[in-house]
Amino acid sequence: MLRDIEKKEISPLYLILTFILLYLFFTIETIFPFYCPEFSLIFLILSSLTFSPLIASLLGFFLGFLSDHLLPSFFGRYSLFFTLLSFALSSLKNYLIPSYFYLLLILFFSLLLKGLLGGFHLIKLVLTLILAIPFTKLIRKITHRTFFAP
Amino acid sequence: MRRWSPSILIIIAAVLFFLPQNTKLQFSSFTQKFVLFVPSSIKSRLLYLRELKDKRDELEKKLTALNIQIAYLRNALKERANTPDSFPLWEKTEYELPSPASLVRANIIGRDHSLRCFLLIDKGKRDSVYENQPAVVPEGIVGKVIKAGDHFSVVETFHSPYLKIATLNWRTRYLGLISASGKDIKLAYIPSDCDLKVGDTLLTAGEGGIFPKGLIVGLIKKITPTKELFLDVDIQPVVDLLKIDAVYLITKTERKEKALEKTEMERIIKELELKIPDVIKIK
Repeated sequence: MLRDIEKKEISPLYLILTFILLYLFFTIETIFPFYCPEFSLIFLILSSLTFSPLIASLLGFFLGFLSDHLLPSFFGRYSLFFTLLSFALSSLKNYLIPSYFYLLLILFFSLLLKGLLGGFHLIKLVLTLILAIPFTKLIRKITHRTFFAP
Repeated sequence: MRRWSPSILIIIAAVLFFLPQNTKLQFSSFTQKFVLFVPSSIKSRLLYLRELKDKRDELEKKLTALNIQIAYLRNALKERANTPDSFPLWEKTEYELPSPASLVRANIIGRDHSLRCFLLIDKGKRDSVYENQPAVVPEGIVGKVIKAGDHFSVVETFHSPYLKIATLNWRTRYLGLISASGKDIKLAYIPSDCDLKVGDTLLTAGEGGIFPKGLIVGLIKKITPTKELFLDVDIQPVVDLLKIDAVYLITKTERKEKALEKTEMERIIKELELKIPDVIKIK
């Protein structure tokens, strides 16, 4: 199923929409920095599990580049982290079973790694894990092209 | 090339990460304007709206205080007009005028099933709210606090059948008692020979020690003569309880003085009771 998606041509409009959505989630997180779940990270993971490594890395780099602007003295750390994360997930997706449990596991470890880089915020972490599955379902409904797509 | 593209991105990210601090700051200061333009403008707009809301609340508070002051002064002027010239005016016009700082704004967060009789507000004893505290809005009186918790309180409004408010006809100075019966608000104990007109303004009489004197309660809507001793008078309240989302409570500092006055008054009456038994009738 995943290979079929990769083989298909992804329309530029769809790709632009993905970038816009990512920027939108980043904007929401920036406006409400403490009590907003990390929708952008969930979205990046879902996109990485759906798209090819190239597009996934591009998305990862884009999100990392945006996030780096919030703390310019450590510029580059999120770019590197998100690019590596999305590339790794996109390359290993064929070995993963598409289940919500795996998604939560990946998300949890990504949050831990991100926390090591930029600090933990317990409320954000818990909210992200709680809202991950409903959010995934919503994205699935909107895009029809996620890791969990039928 | 396609196979190498992700690696190029990783290398770019790594280069960004290992750049010297000054270069990083210079680079980010240039791109920050574009990247954070939308979030920062939305955030500043939201902050501006919150500031506006605070200002609006503050202005509404001032307006309420000013309206109460106007009501007091209007009442004072009316009394002054009725006062004989030989009588010292200042004695008659000495009123308690609440300032904006003496008002506590409380949002209505719940209502009873009729939506009018009882209001649950988000302020309690920790915000200097106490029982029997009068609740007002810029237009006029709403009711009084009947139960004050630590964080929440319940306000009983003039629509409650249990609340009676002593009122004064602004034009004729006739006293009456406002009480709710069903959906209507009535003015009770008005003798049939009393001089009343439709449209007369009713103010709080200040008797009972709960409500300050001179707050607007409502207007006379309808007068129906009855065969009984008293008139049947319908009142149109000035405050529409379904349209308000917050009330103002007159704070404790001023009310404390009132309470002290009340205690003193009770003490005097008790002392008088021993000397003149008839004083019980007056009480």
